Amino acid sequence: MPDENRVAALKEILDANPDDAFARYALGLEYSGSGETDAALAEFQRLLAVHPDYTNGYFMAAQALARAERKDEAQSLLQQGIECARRTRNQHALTEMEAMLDELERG
Amino acid sequence: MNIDRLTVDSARTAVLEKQTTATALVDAFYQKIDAEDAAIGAYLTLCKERAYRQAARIDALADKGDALPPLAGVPIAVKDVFATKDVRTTAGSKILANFVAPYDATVVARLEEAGAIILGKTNCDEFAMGSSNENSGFYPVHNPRDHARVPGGSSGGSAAVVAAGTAVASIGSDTGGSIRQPAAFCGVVGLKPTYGRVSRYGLIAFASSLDHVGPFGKSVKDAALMLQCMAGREPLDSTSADVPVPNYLDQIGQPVRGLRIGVPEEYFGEGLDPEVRRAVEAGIQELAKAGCEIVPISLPNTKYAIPTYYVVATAEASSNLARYDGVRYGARAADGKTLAEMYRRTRDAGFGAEVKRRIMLGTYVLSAGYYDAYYLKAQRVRRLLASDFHQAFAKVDAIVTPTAPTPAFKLGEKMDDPLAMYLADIFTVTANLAGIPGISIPCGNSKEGLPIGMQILGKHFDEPMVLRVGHAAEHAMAGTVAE
Repeated sequence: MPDENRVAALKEILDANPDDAFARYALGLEYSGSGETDAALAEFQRLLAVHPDYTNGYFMAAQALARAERKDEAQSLLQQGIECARRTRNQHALTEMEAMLDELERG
Repeated sequence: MNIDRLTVDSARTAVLEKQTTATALVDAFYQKIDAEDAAIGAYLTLCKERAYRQAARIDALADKGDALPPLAGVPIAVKDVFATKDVRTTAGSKILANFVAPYDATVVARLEEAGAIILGKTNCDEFAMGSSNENSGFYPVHNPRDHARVPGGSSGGSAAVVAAGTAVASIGSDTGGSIRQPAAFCGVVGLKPTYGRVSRYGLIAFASSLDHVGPFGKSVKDAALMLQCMAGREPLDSTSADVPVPNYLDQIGQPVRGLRIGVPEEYFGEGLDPEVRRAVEAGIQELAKAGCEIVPISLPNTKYAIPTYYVVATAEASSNLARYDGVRYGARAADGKTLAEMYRRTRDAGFGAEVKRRIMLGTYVLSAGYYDAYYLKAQRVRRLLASDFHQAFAKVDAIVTPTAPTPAFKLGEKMDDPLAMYLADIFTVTANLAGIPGISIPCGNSKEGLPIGMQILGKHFDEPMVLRVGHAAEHAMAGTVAE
């Protein structure tokens, strides 16, 4: 179960401003952390639809999918995330996503 | 000569007036250490050759009738996180069990230049990570006031040697309370100066934006005398501040009538031991009797201090401790078949559980997906905490709080509960996050005879105010171990 207080606080922020990127991302993390993969993916998709350059959205969505053993979808999102990281020059995320993609391809 | 009650001042005077020699003092302290330290475990390494060499230098100066430096003949101890040339320097970690430093930390060099004699290196939590000294990679330190209890941490050995009288004074490092909290637990004075006041060159880094260097002594005056010789700009530490060093002794004994003392409500709430509350409130009343105006204040973001601290500190630690890989630093583990395996085995064998926990936590909060959510947020909250103090110091000259929420707890009591252990620092981490100076002075004992500490905080570089209020409170309460 996600932390209900945190989910409620994040939803309150999103009710006031549905395009708040960090609140949407944090809500996705809350669901992802408690294993609610589909709910998490829904939030990450809404985030990326409005903020396609929010690189970590791809990364965290891929991690949620990998934990749910949906490897092909995770790889696809990582590839999109790597493109985004190159586009936005986010070397930090790029390195970590390339490493994760490499691990998924090997194993 | 009874060395138990020697202070920085009286030790120097004894040598100056030829009541004793520096060499005789060193003899007496090593005899006491040999007799008593096995039960306390405060020392990790004694540096006798170095101590006797320095004592001979001081005695030669005294024999010639030359002017003696300010700490001439004062036997001190140094936390084992400071590099000491040709002496084992472990940071309390097995990974550095055989590391011999090739140079002196600036603070060590300055204290020796001022005439102090370094008796040895004191035990501490591994890489200064802990609040009880139970995370030492070698053996825990026992509180000299009650051997069943912890001395606090991470500079527990440095506090214990002053409390036990196996050194006149000592130095430690304070990243989240590691000078002030053990000072409170052991019934001595511990001072954390402003960030940048004392050079960190040669300090084995834990969290570089939070690490501070400061002294322990039996009295506020001892702490002032030590700080006087430690403070000041030094180019080898780019964060050391180019701010003139005042004469700290000038403030000792100055009246405090009319000073405004802030008492933050957030430090007297849930979780504070009733005996600690009573003792600190009694200390505040003594300041009121001395003519201070007591002003209730609020530091509203205090509740975020512990989570903020454990994000920032662990993030910096995970970066600082990357160098202990068996190549650059650290005892290399055998049998690694690949480079990555050698790194893993070295770090697995060399680091203790708490250090590993903090490295993993720090790596997590710095990872790409969580950086914004944790590290950046923590940095923003850190600014809010600093702003709380800035606003408070517009209204008051100093702030008084408990140093720790409880007196010293029993060995083993909190080892299975890291969060409970972290809360031992709840009143001290804020000063590290804000970079302001703070001192802990004894303010009485619990019914079980355990010391209780009162913390006095000041504005950046206002150590003179912290020392002035601390000295006034110390004498009003007559609660120090020195007489």
